[in-house]
Amino acid sequence: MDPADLRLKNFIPADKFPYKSVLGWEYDSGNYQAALEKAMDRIGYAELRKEQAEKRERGELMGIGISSFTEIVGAGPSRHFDILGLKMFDSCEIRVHPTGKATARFGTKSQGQGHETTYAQILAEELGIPAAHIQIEEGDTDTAPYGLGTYASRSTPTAGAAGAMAARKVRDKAKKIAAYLLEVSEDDLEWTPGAFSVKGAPQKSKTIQDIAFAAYTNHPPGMEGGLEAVSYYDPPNLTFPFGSYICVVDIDRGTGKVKIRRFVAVDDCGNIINPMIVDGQIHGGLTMGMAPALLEEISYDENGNISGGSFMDYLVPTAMETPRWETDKTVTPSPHHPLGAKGVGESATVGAPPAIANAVVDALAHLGVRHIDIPITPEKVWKILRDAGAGL
Amino acid sequence: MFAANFEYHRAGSVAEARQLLAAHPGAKLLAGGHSLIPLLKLRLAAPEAVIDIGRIGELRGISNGGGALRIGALTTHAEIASSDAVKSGAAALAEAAGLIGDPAVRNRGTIGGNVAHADPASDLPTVLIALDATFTVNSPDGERSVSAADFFQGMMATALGEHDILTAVNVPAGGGGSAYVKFSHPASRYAVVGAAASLTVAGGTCTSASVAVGGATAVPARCASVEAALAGQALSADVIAAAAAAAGGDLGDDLLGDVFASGDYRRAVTPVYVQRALAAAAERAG
Ligand SMILES: Cc1cc2nc3c(=O)[nH]c(=O)nc-3n(C[C@H](O)[C@H](O)[C@H](O)COP(=O)(O)OP(=O)(O)OC[C@H]3O[C@@H](n4cnc5c(N)ncnc54)[C@H](O)[C@@H]3O)c2cc1C
Repeated sequence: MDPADLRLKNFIPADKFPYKSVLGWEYDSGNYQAALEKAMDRIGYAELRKEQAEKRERGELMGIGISSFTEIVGAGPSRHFDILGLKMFDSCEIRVHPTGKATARFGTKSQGQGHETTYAQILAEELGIPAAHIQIEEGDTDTAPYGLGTYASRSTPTAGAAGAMAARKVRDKAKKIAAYLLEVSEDDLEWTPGAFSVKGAPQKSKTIQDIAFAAYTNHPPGMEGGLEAVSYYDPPNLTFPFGSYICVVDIDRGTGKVKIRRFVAVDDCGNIINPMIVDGQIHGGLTMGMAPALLEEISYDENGNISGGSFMDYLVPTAMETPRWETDKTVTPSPHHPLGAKGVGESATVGAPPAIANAVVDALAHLGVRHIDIPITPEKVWKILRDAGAGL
Repeated sequence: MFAANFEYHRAGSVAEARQLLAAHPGAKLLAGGHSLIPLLKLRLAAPEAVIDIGRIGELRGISNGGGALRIGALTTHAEIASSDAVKSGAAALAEAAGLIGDPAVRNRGTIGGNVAHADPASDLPTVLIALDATFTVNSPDGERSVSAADFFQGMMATALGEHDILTAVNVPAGGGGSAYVKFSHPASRYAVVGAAASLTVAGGTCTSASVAVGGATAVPARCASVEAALAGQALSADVIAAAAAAAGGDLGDDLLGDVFASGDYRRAVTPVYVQRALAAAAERAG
C-alpha cells in the first residue's frame, strides 16, 4: 500500500475533533487529511512516484519520504502539569501609560524566537495600540511576573494567551472609562480596534489613547486610577499542532551520499500571529531536524570513550548542507486558546527526521531495507548497497 | 586556546627571510596562516619565533613560460582558481583550488603553505603529484628543484629542511586534459577522498595517463594500475570504468579512517572518484 494512502486511511477524521486518544490526551483540533493532501499537491506526489518507478528500472536510487505528525505543546493545565509543585501556567503584566503607550512583561524569555514581535502584535491586536508603542520586557526575574519560561513550544500557547487575557482585562476597564467619558452605558458601546464608540453614533468615540490619559486624569468616581492588568493563564488543555512533510532524496550509488532534492513542509499551528516568525521557526527546525537524520552523532569506542574530538567530527549543519525548504500551511484554530493559536517551535524538529529517514529507506526499499539507524551517513548507505550488491 | 608566546618577525624579501631563519633556529614560516595558526592555537606547534613571509611580493603570482606554469609560493587558492592560465593549462589545479574550504580559506591560504604543510586530506598535493609538478626550493646552499614524487614524504612531512623556503611550484601546462573531483568532508571541506587525473590523447587513443588519489593515505597515491590499463586505449566510458575499478588496489594497506569515513569506505569509493575524474579529463583532452 502506498505510504500516503496508508496515512490518509488511518488519520483521525477532521469531524472527530476534539479527539480523546486512548492515552488520555484530548487533541484540541486537527485536519490531518488536508495537510497531507496539500503537501502531496505541492510536491507533485503522483508524478514523483512515476519518476521513481522509471528510475528504479534504470537502477537509479530515488526515495520519497512522508512524515505526518501531531505535536503536544503548551504545557500546561495546572491539574496535570507542574515542576516540583510549581504549576505550569504563564503570565503577563500590562501597564498602559498616560501617553497611550504600554509596557508588558512576560514570564517567558525569547532565545531568538522573536517574542518581542509576536507578543507586541497580540497586544496591538487586542488593544488597538500600535505594536511599535508596546515595550515587551522578559527575562528579568526582579521585574517579570512569575512564569515557567520558554521551552517545549509553550510561549505562545501560555504566555501569549496570558497577554491576550490581560489585554482583555485592560479593555474591560477601558470600556468603563469610555462609558463614563461618553456618558452612555457600557452596553451602548462597541469596540473597533483602537476605540470604543457609541452604537449607531460612531462619531461619538474615545480612542484607547484618550482612555489611557483619562485613566490617570479623569477616571470615574469610585474607580481606582491607572490602566493595567495581570493574567496568570492556566490553559484548559494543551495545543496540538500538526503537519505533513514530504521529502525527496536522490542517492549516489557510488558513494552512498544522500541528497535532499526537495522538501515540502505543510504545518498547521492554528491561527498564525506573525507568518514570518512562524516560517523562521520552521526553517530553523527543519535544518535542526536534518542534523540528526543525516549528520550529528556522538560516537563512542568500545571502551566508552567519545571518539570524536571537536566540531570537525560532530557535524552541525550549516547553510552549505541546508536544502531549499518549501513551507506551506493549513490553518485549524485551537478551540480553547484565546487567539486560536498553537505552538510551533518544535514541530519541524519532530517532523523532519522521519521524513528524511523514510525517504532514504524508500529509495532502498526494493533491496529489502526497512530501517536505517540515524544519522544516515554515506558510509552506512554504501554498506547497505554493497551488501545488497547494488553499489557501483 | 591561545598560542604559546612567540616572537613575530616580518620578512620583506626572500633574502631577509633567509637571514631571519638563520638567526632564529626552530622558527616557523607564516604564509596565509590557515594551517599554522590552528596548530599554534592547539599548541601542537610552539615555535619561539614566527617569520611572516606573507607580504613578499616576489613570491606571489603566476607566469607562463616554456610549457610550464610557474606559480609563486604565496599565490592564494582563490588566485589559482580564477587564473585563466591555470584553467587552460592545468584545469585540475584550478578546479582543486576552487574546491578548497570556503571563500575565506581560499582568499588567505597559499599553494606554498598548503604543500609545505602536507596534510593528507589536502587537495593540492594530489593534483600536483598527478600533474608531475616540481618544487623550487631556496635553501642555505642555493636553489634546488624537487619533483612531486620526492617532495611529499609522509603525513605532514616533506623534503623541505628547517632552513628551506619554498619559492615556487612549477606545473607542466600540458596539451591534454585534467580534472579533479573530491568528496568534501562536511565540516572542514578537506578531501575525504580526492582524485586527480591527467590524460593526453592522440589519434583517438590515450597516449599518457596519470592518476593520483588523496585523502585515503598519508601521502597521495599514484594509481599505477589505472594508468597502465588506460595506456593505448580509446577512452570509452567502459574502458574508463574498467580501469578505475582497479584504483582501490593502488592505495596499499595503510588507509586513513575516522568517525566519518573508515579506511574500507575510502578504498571503496576511490574507484568512483577516479572514474569521475577520468571521465572529465577525457572530455577535456578531446
Ligand atoms: C576551515 C579550513 C578549511 C580548509 N579546507 C581545506 C580543503 O578543503 N582543502 C585543502 O587542501 N586545504 C584546506 N585547508 C587548508 C588551507 O588550504 C591552508 O591554507 C593551507 O593548507 C596552508 O596555507 P597557508 O598559506 O595558510 O599556510 P600557513 O598556515 O601559513 O603555513 C602552513 C605551513 O607551511 C609552512 N610554509 C608556508 N609557506 C612556506 C614556504 N613558502 N616555504 C616553506 N614553508 C612554508 C609554514 O611554516 C607552516 O608550517 C583548510 C583550512 C581551514 C582553516
